[in-house]
Amino acid sequence: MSENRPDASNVAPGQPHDSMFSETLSYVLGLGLALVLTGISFWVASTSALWGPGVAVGLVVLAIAQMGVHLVFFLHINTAPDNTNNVLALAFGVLIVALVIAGSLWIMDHLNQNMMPMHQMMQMQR
Amino acid sequence: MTSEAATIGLTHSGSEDTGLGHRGPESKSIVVPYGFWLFVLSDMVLFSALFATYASLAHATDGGPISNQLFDRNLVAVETIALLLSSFVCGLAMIAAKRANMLWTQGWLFVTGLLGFVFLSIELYEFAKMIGEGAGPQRSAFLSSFFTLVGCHGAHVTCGLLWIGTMMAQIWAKGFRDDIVRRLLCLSIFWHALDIIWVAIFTIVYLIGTLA
Amino acid sequence: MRKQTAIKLDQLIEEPDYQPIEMPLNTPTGVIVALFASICGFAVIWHIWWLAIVGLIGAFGVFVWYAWRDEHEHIIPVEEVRANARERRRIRMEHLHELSQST
Repeated sequence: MSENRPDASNVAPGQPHDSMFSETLSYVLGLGLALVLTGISFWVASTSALWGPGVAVGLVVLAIAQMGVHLVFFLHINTAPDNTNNVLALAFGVLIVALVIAGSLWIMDHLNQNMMPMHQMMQMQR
Repeated sequence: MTSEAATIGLTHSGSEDTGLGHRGPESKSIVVPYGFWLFVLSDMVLFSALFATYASLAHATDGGPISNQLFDRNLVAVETIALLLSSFVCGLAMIAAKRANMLWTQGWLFVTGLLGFVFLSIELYEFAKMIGEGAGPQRSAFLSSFFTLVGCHGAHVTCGLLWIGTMMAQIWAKGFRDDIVRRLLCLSIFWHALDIIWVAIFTIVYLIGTLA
Repeated sequence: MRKQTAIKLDQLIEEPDYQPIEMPLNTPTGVIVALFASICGFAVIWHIWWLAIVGLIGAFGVFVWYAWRDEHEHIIPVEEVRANARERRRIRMEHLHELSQST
C-alpha cells in the first residue's frame, strides 16, 4: 500500500522518508526560508520605511517564524503520530519559557514602579 | 508490524505487569532523541531566564557604553549566516550517517565544526574588543547580562564543537554502530537548538537592541 | 485493586510472559566528572588558571573515556527474572492464604 511507505508525497515536512533527495530537500527548504527570514529581519531593523514602534514587534514575529522553520525543517517536529510526545514536550517547554520571561518582566516592572527613584534613595542616605 | 496490528494487541513485547501498553516501549532510536529533546527544552528554560534578565537590565547602562556604540551589525550578520549554514550541513551529515557513508558524514561534520568555529571566533573577537575598550562584564548591569547571555550561548557552542570532534573520532574508530548513530542524532538536535537560540539572541540583543 | 481481587479470589493473577531485562552497567563516571568540575570551580574562584584547565580537561577526558566503551548494558536473562518473580509469588501466596482466612 502506498500509504505505508513514506515518501515525499505523503509525509509531513521533515518526517523521515526513504529517498535521500526528499530528505535533503527538507534541509534545503529550511535553509532557504531561514535565509530569507534573516535577510528580512536585518532589512526591517535598518529601514525607515516602517512605523517605528512596529519594528520591534515585526522583528519578534520574524524571529518566531524562523524558530518555527528550524523546528519543522531541521528538527523535524511535526504532527505525525510518532511525534506526538515531541510536540507535547515542546508545548510544555514553550509554556515554561513564556511564564519565566513574562513573569519575570511583569514582576521586575512592578518592582521598578513601586520602588523609590534612585536619586531620592541616595539622598535619604546622606 | 503496522501500527494497526500493534494497536489491537497483536504484538507481545508489552505486558501489563510492567505498566507498558500492548505495543511495548518504543525503539531506542525514538526514545533516546525524545529524552535528549527534553534536556534541550530544559536548556531553553535556562536561556529564557538569561533572556528575562537581559530584558530587565538592558537599560541599566550606568552611564557607560550602550548597545548602539558596541554592536556591529555586519559582524552579527556574518555570525548568523555561519551558524545557519552549520545547522544546514549538520543535517546533511545526518543524512549521510543514516546511510553509513563514512566520507560524507565526516566531511559534513567537519564543515559543521568549521562554521561553528568561525562563529565562535567572530564572537570571541567581539568580546575581546569590547573588554579592551572598557566595556567588559563588570562595567554595567547591561553589560553583565549581555556577556552572561551571549557568553552562555558561546559556551554551549564550544561544548558542541568538542562534541562534534569527539563524534568524528568515534565514528572513525568504531564505525556506524547503532548507539553511535543515536549520539549523532542527539548532537544534531543540540546543534539545531543552538541555532534557534541564536535567532532569538540576534533579534533581541543585536537588532532590537540597536534600533535607532 | 489487584490486591483486593487477589484476596477475594484467594489466588494471584496469572503469570505474565516473562521478558529479559536490560540494565545499564554501573559506572563511576558521573562522580569523577563532578570531582573534576569541582576542582575547576575551586580554581576559578581563586584564579588558579592552570588548575581550572586541568579540571576542564580532566572532566572532558573522563567523559570521552566513558563514551568509548563498547558495552552499555547487561541483560538479566529470562530464567533469572522468572526465578525471582516466582519466589516472590510464592511468598505472596503464603501471606495471601493468611489474609483470605482472616477476612
